Amino acid sequence: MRTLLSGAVALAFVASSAGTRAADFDHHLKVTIDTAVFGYYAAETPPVLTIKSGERVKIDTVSLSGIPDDPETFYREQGISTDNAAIQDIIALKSEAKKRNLTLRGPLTGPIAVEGAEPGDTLEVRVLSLKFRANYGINSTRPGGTGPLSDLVPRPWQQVYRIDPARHRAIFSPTIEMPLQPHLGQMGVAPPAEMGRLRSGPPTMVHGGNFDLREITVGSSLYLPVSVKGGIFTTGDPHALQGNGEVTGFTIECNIEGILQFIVHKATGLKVPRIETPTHYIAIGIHDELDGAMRAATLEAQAFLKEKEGMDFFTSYSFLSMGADFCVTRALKPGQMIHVMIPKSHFLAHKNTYWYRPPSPGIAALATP
Amino acid sequence: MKFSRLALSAAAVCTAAFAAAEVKYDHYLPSSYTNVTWGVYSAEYAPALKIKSGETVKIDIANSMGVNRANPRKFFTDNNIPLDHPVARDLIAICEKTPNHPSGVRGALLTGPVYVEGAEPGDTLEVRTLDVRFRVPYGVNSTSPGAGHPLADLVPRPWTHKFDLDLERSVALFKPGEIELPLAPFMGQMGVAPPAATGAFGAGPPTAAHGGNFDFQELCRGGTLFLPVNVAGAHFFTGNGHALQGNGEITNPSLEVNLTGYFQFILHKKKPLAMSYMETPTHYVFVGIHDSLDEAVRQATKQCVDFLQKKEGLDYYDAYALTSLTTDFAVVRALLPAQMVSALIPKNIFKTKTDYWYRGPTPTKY
Repeated sequence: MRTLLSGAVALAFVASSAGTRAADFDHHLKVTIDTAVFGYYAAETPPVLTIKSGERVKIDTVSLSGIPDDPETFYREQGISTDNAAIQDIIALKSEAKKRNLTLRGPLTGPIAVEGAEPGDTLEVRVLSLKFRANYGINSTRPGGTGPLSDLVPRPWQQVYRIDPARHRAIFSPTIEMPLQPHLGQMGVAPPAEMGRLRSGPPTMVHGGNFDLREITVGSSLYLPVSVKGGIFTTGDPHALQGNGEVTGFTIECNIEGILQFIVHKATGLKVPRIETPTHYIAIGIHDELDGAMRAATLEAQAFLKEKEGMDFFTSYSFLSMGADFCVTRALKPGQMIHVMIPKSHFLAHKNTYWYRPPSPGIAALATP
Repeated sequence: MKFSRLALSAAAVCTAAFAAAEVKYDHYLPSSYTNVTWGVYSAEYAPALKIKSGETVKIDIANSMGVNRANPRKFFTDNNIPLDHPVARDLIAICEKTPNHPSGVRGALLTGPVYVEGAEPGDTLEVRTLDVRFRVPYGVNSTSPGAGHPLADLVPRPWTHKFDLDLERSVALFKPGEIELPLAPFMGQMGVAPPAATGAFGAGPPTAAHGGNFDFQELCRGGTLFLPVNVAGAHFFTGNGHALQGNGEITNPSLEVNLTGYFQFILHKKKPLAMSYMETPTHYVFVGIHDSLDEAVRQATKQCVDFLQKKEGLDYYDAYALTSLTTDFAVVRALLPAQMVSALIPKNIFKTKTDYWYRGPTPTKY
């Protein structure tokens, strides 16, 4: 049986260097070979942590993308100090995998079971805090990948970038710097048992998973339909930033410590994952073809507006045509994804009872270093 | 809200909502029935106006959405709009007097052509949108079965709805008192005549060669469109006013309105352009146009990679990576044929700042 290596650390205090956000947590889940699932979502995976609805979990995540089997040499060559908790986690994972003769696909920390969550419920995951665990990230691409120009990529390629959390920037080159938009690319629950193991590459409209959606950052809620008892949640694939589309198949894959709060909403009957931010409702559509994703996203956004506002077909269709933005989240096959941004400000009666209050205007403030 | 009361003060209201004073212009092109085509881009029309590079033009556009061409007065009387209102006057005259193109090609009304002296094939025409103002305080949205949009097969019948605009507060009253959408007006169509050999282009699908029906909210005040010149004089047309627009435009029409645009035209000699592109105060914008959204994304991606390689001297991989890391892809037109995807490269990632002509407030966006 798996063991939860770290016990619950109650009421620990995490403060960002910006001093604007702080979040407590009830449990701390580290990322080890025994507290992570490698490359799939499944109902069969036993939880490594069981929590109550409303509890907050500090979750360590790492990315192995671009890290060779001898990580110490790699870090030495890159001039990156290994005196870092995330890098030690990566070294330990690689060394354990070697001992056990395993190939590790993308690590998803967890699973976490939430007491009382049953099929037909919604598991709300609030992102309270995201903090970079190391100041580097790796982007890569390869021929035969799944992006729009994968056939034109002549050879595998990767690049290590420095992350500067204090300045909210990733350093692309001496002349180009990119604003940080930290998020966990993968957050999902187990699919129904009869679906077996779902590869974690493509997201689905059932279990969530690999959304690669930068809007799910500090201050956002992800609503996942519960398919199995306890929900069986895992997360990983930490991203430093992201262009909508993610056309190379990867972004700056990094290492993030997230504090997430889990809330069970009973018997909601939610069928498709939804997202809420301080400013927007977000509906999604997933399909191998973007045309199909567009259609699925339209139908799902209409379902949302019917529930929320009682809009009939023409009213919601017209509303979405005029007042919502359809964005390409993932131009990656299979599982291409479109997300629909619906501004809350359109609704005059909207009472701002949302849980998150931005500390100050601007996305930079959300990028908790 | 009563239309007639607002209509009388529409000009003043627009002024309050959008700018302190009307933009200065060198020429005025009204949407009189001799200055419009029923949705045709072609070099065969005599110029409605001849200008020099660098000059500014005020252009009225008429939008016939909701108006029955066989009985144009009905829409205005039904909606309490005086028949002598400039927009009613223009549209009634157009419905009665402007002929269809003999080929049968037709589409949304376009004002033009504007002939730019000295423009030759192989040049680029830069069109700056200096300002956009409303001519009337209403807009019309509609949809119909089988029209190439994502849920066309689920639409049971044609549907049209007129929405009032509160120009003072700069919102469309989607559901008065409950749901309002911020106004962000732009011309859905901006394009030039296609090469003479290809004949007349309809105002339906946009193309790489002539621009046209981009339906793109980024081309509002402060936006710049770069178009390839295909024929002497370029022959620029514009129309299809939109009060606002979500990326996707899934019902097919947007909130169709009658607008006045203020444009500056700048000719760049001997700069051949394979594909139109745009620039805004905050982004470089590339588009892909194809029946398949997948292919449209591919086209747009290629252009971003090319642009970043040239602009920053990056190799292929760095340019591809930078596209993935920073560029936002959105579905602008989920409409068959010729679906369109935009790719927005943010300017703020470049440490070296480049000058841009627009200095005004950030255009209304939600």
